[in-house]
Amino acid sequence: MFTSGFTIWYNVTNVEQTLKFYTESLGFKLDFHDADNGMASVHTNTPDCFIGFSEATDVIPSKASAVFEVTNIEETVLKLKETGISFTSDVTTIPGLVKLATFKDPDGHDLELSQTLNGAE
Amino acid sequence: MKPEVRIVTISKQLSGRWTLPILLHIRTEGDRFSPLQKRLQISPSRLSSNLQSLINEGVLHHIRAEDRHHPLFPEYTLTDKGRFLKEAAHILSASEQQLNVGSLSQKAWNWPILMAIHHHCSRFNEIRGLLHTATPRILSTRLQELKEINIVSKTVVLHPTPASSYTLSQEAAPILRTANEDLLSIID
Repeated sequence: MFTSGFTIWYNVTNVEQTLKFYTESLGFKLDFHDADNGMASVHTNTPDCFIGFSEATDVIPSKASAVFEVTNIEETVLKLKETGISFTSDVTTIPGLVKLATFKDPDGHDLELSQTLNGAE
Repeated sequence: MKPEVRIVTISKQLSGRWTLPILLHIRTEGDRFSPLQKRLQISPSRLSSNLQSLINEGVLHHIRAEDRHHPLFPEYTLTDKGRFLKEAAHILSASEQQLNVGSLSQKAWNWPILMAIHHHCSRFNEIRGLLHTATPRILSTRLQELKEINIVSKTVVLHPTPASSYTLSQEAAPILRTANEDLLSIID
């Protein structure tokens, strides 16, 4: 029924500022940018997974977190802090399951890092 | 409502620096603020206040952020009145191109005055009577401006009492006639 492909679309106030955040701070690759129509998307490092952005006058920050999987969450948090990203939580551990750390994009959309734990951790 | 009153009312509604450009540029299926602003080359605050005026006049409908189901969907859509005025805007714009004297709709009362004269209002008070709310001062200023760009001709009639008589210039008359016919054709 479904083919491979997943995209999250966000309303944003300034698409250039958003692209700077997602490409320079998070390191995702630009997929396309249509400046005239105030829209763009980036390719996450997961195949066929994209995040799209469209400029809007009223932006309601999304509380549904987009969660990015990392291999070492503490190292990633430090690295992202160096690029100017502020985290809204410390690293939180759900024993035997996952470690999580939350932050926001320039429009306040919730984003999250996740490190999957194997049962022993 | 008499056709000439309806035509004058429509041309009044299309007056204003940004009214015609916004209606010409907004997509029929609706539009978002950002691309519209870039197409019009207008400051965000000016576009915002003009869009709000058009919403207040029932020309546009603003879709609230929580009611938009996708970020690429329109933030503004045309109402029935807006779709009608968009058609009318195309007619006035085509006439302005033919008249070749710049954007007449940018200044209030230009088009209503021309339509009043087209509908055989040749005396100052007849024009004023059809326009209803135009002050004598603004009407006098606009008539003088339209005369200076050779759209309107002014003659002095001596009988029964001395008075100025206004007519459309030879070049403008057929263009106004077509504009009037085209506007009448889209009125329900």
